[in-house]
Amino acid sequence: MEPLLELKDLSVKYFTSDGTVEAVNGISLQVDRGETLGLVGETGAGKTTAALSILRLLPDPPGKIVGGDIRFQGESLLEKTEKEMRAIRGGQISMIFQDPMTALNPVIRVGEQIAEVILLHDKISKAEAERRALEMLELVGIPAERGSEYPHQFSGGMKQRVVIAIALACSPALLLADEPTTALDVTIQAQVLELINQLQEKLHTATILITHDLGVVAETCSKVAVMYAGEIMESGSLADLFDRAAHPYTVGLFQSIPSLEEDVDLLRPIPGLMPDPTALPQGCKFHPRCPYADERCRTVQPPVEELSPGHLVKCLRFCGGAEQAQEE
Amino acid sequence: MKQTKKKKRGQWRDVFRRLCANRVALVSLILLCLILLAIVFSEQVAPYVYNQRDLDATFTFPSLSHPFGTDNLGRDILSRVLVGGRVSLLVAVLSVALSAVVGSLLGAAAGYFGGRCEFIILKCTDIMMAIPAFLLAVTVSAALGTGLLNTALAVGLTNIPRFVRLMRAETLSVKGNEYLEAARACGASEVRIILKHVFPNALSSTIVNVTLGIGTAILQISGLSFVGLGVRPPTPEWGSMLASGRTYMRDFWPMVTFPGVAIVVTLILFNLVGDGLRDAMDPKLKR
Repeated sequence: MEPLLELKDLSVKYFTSDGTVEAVNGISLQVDRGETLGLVGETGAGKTTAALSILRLLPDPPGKIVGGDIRFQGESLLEKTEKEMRAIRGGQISMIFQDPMTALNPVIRVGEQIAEVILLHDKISKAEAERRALEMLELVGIPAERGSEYPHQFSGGMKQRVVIAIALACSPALLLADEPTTALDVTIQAQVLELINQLQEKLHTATILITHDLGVVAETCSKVAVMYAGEIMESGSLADLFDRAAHPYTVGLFQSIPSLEEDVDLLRPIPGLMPDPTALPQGCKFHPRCPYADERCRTVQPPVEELSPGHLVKCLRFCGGAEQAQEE
Repeated sequence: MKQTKKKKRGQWRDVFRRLCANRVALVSLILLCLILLAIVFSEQVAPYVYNQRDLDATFTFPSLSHPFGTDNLGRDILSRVLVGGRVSLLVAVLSVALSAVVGSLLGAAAGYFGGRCEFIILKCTDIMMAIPAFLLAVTVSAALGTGLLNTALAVGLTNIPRFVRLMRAETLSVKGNEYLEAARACGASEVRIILKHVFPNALSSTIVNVTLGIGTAILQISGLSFVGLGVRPPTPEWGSMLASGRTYMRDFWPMVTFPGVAIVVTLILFNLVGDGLRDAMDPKLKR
């Protein structure tokens, strides 16, 4: 069966006066129906840019999709007209934003804000839409009476629930969750994640969960892709990455998480910083920070290598020498 | 509130309820309504016919038969103030409505779309602002001719730049908010985003500017009438009444005082109501 969403070699650049920012460099991804994909990476790795380009919401100018294709339910999203895209946004693909504090319009009642999406996509009466909006509120665990309140009367976690209700109001096939829990504290995070998971199962929605929190990924995702400097360095099933991490960057990420069992004084961070996206290094983008980097890494772009079915790595160490990797 | 929760309340009903909770605004609104009623039904309310002359009783000071006195031609000042309010307010409200609607739309478009659209709109307003407002009004109304609508048009056009500037600045500050992006991600069109998400959040200072603008407009209209381009005598109008009373100001105060007081009181009431309206439209101030 063809995947619900397929990114093929997608490249996005921002053309600014300070130079061209290569935000996303040829990423390929597949998301099947009902599946949750975790998109992990540091700040500035291009995760949000990738998500925004799926909805064709890149700020243009300066952002432009310069190459590749985005196929959703077998059709290319890049060939759609703006009007067709509007029908898709919020209807079949919707997005949850990072900060619930600013994602709701302060002068419109929350019930009405949910009803607005429904009215935009379904041809139903206003009263019917409002009734469904209140149902959505109940679904995310907010009493329907509160639908007539304004966003400032809700707490952060509640607001994020409202945002989720808006995103899921039209039962989209795909949900893009851009760090949905970053602005919330840990207990609320857990609630919100659980809510997303539950609703996802109920509505059979596929999700791309963008985060920099590996713990969140372990809890919620079935597939993971690790992004670095606009490229997907490694992708595979949850087990592939958490138990058999291959790419030095993924390994470094896991090593930098403090362990519960050991008593350590210092964390083990990956040395160095993300490269400047206007001047990315030659060869492998990670080589300046990679402990295994050699001469070849400086010049040769590593190809994508399949270690096991579905487990893809972009690193020269595994190129044609899978045995060598096994030894280590 | 608890009782009415079940009932659906429209946004404007909500605003009105909050406006009523504000005592100053409520009193001002009631007084303003009374004044407006008196002005609308001035023909019926006025004790005399506004242009009925009584050359035996010129320059009489306020008395029981003429509460505001009579002017240089023996016309009852109270009746003239009432009837004059019609023209003044009608023209002022029309002109402000014109400049507020056109100006806000242009300003919102400039702020929201940016780029070339913004450049063109802003340069045009700059050019208009470079010409003294009154000169512009005089030029426009000289070109269009006198009369109620033409005066409103002239005054309205000259005030457009203020609203453009204000709305653009407000739009810029609203534009960065994530809820616009969220609305776009929900599939809302640009027009819908401007009307439903940008406008209500950027409107508050425009409302205050409207109430202030009515004052400016009344003065500009009177200025136009004064140079003979606005409303022609004998149609009474507050500004032209002020102008004609000016000559006798030192010996006979009622002729300037009462139209002046009418202008001041109406303006203050408009401002208070506008203030209250702005507060009422901000749900965060709701207690």
